Amino acid sequence: MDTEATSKDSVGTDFDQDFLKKLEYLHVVAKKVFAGRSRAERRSRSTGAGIEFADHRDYAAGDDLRYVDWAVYGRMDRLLLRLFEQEEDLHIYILIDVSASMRLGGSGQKSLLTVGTDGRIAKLGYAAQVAAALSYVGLANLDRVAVYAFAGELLGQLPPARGKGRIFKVFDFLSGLSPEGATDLSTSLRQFVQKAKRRGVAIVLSDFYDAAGYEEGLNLLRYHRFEPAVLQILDPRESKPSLRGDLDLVDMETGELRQVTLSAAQCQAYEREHAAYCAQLESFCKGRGIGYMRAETSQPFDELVLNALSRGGFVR
Amino acid sequence: MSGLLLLGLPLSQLLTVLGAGASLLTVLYLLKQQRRRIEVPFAQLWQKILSQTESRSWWRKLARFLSWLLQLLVLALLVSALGDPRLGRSSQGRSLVLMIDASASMQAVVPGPSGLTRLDLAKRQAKALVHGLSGDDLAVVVALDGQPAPQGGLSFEERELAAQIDAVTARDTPADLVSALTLSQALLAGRPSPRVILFSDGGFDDLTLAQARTDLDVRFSPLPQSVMSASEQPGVGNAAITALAVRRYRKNRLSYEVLVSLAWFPAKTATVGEVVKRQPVTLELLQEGELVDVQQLELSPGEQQEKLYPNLSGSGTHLEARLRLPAGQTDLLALDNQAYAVLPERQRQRLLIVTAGNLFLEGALLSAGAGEENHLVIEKTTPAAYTAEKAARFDVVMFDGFTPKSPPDAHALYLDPRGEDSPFAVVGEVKRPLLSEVDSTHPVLRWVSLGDVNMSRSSVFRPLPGDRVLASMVKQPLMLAREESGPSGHLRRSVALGFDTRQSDLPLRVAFPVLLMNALDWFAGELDDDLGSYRTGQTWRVPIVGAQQGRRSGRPDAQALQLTSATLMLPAGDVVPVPVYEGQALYYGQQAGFYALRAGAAPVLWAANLSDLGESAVRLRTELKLGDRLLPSPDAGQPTLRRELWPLLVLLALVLMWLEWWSYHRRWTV
Repeated sequence: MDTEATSKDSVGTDFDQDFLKKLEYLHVVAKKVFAGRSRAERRSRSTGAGIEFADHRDYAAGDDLRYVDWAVYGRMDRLLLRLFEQEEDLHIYILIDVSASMRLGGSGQKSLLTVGTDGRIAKLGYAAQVAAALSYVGLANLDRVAVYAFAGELLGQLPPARGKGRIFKVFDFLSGLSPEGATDLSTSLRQFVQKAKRRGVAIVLSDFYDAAGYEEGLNLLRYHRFEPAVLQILDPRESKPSLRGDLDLVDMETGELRQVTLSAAQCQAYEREHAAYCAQLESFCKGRGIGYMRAETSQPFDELVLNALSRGGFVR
Repeated sequence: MSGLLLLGLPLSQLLTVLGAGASLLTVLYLLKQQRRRIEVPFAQLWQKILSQTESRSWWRKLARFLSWLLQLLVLALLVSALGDPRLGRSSQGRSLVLMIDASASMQAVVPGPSGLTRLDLAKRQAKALVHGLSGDDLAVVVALDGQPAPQGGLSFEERELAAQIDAVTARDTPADLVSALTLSQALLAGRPSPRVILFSDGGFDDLTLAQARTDLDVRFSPLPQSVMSASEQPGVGNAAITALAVRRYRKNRLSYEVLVSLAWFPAKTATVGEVVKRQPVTLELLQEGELVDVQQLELSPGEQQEKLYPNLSGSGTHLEARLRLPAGQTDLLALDNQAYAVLPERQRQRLLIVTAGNLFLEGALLSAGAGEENHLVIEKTTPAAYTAEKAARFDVVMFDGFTPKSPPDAHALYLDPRGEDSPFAVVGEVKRPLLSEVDSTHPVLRWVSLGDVNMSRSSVFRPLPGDRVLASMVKQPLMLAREESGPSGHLRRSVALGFDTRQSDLPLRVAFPVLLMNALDWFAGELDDDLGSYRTGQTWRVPIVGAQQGRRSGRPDAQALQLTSATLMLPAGDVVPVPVYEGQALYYGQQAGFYALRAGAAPVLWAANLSDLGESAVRLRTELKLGDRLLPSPDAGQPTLRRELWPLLVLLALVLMWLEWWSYHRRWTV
């Protein structure tokens, strides 16, 4: 990313200069990490009009004689047709959870996308930063990147596009997100698979707090031949709450109120319950070949993105 | 056990406080609790945890109720503590009088670096005993001095009893053991297990111990053995001034003679065969603070040695005698190393004799010192030259066979008064009377024998109310003495003899000049008692001398008789009010030193000394016998429960509060 583009981007979005500098850094680092290993282009399994040789097959009537391998015919007296791999664009779908629970972590700052005075950032803000970083890396690699926002359903989308210049659209889209509503992964992802015509990598950024369960939604992605990847974003305080005394607990998504008196033992029990829930999600993903990563908002997002890229498999 | 006592707030106030506090607590429990609102991202995760808690909701309600009850209990305990509840006494408790000897000998120091006195040690012993008293023992402290008195009420409080012990101070008086035992008997009358515990050096005289019989159970706590052994070191003892007496000369009452009596009481008595060492001492005499005489003397153990200082003058001056041991020797009791005296006021006495001539009378006055340089200024006149105005210029008028028209404004001696003008009404006459009744206790007849006096005749007087019959023949008064107010309000004294001295053999007897001098001394209000000082441990009756009347007698005038109180400056400089009764200030003397009484224009000065051989002997006894009964040692009481309950109540309340706090923070009682 050049300086001019950065300056332009910083105007009209909630992503600050630091963030943009980090994206540029990520781009440079990503190039070094993946140099000689892959290019931006992705090869499809189908053969076609590419330039990379893939295989031979027997000549059949009607085949284009230009692809007959005459050298083989001279040696083996057989008519074999040369096949080439067909080149096609990789589609990266980034699905970002904008349910009310993603508001957690914001401490009153003007925008959820920025870090507050206390050094904390809302889960949605953190997810948006990660989404922007992934989008930038994808766009820079000439992949087609689309961004979808969902909660109880698909709430908005940024159509697939390619090229680094499109990153500004991504910024604008992410800056306009606001958390509301309850999570319904099943409905949201069902709508997504119906909308997305081309198969590709579907990265779901969410806390996966869905009262109806996340399994059906993730399975839908698999069944429709997407390559799902899960990035579970958590706030440190929800993993290890330090609540004590007489409280009114209000569910951020449903508004359900419960009067409780919490002790240290109950908080510890919750902590165990929460860890078990996350472990269950991880186990579900790994059991089905779904890439899984868990991130807490206290972890720097660039570190997370690099970690995700270096793992391979998470973003191919 | 006789129930529970409340010594703090009364029950009605406690109930009020409890009611108000309980109401406040209940209101606080009824108030809706303000809860903090917390947003959580996924309430479903909390449900599993909270469902377990909710299953115990009935317990939560009960726990809240229990918490309320617990708070009420804590409140009740604290309010009860305010009432300072005490357990009553059991019937096993003893009633004790802790009698602490505060007599002069208890001021004796214990030889050694501690500088403690015997009284300090006795008080320590008493406090140790109080500390070891059982909870049911009731005790009171009595200070055993010249006027034994309880230092407070009966109490089972260690603090209160310790305060009573601290209040005991040593007096410069001997101890009145008999009165103290009587007082103890009154204090313990009707109380269970009465007992007296005596903390003393045992320095009572044998007669007192023999007379001090009592039905009480008396225990003796002697001073520690270490005191005895420390006191028996060589060179330790008590050198004492046992008396400092002042008297006037008979013939010249303007001069004084001072007697100092000294004694040496070694702490360790000599054994048989041991050479008795005489103790060298230094005796100093000071007049108005100035050293006037120093003498080196040697005193035999236990013996009294007297030293006379003749022909001292200077009425009204302060006299002080001091006694010192050589350096390196320990004098146990400093109190009797000084003695004080005030040389009393004395003025000349002017005497007018109204006579036609009486050699017997003049002879008797000559033998009394008339004409010499002394206190008497005598003038003679004839009845014809006598006038009342002239008589008023004299202190005493002596009428010899002459009766004035009216009594003079002076003291008067009437020899054979007759006629209607006689101030002593003559109601008859007897021939050759014999004096069958003589009041030898009257100052006028002191050392005078009238048993076989002969006279040819005598008038018989009719005494007025208040008159004192000095001599009579079968109830017929022949000699009278009278005290009355004169025309100027002063006390006027008169003596009347019903016979003419020339018709009697009385002038031929030694009794006659003695009688005249006695009469003159009585008129002057002075007796040849020990002058200038009083003994401590006695109630003094000090005549108040007015400014105007002092010339004619040392007796109170009418103005002084009307006084009801006066101020007395004590030796330590304190000024205290003292009552005055019939012209005499009453005060129980407890301190040696100089005193000054102010009741009118002229102050009355005197001094007081211990002057008690028993106290100066500073005896130490380890065993004591009352009558023929050997006093046993005090015993310890039965241990019982402490009667003070408030510390326990507060402690219990604190434990309950801690339990409530602990359970609350573990969410057991919320």
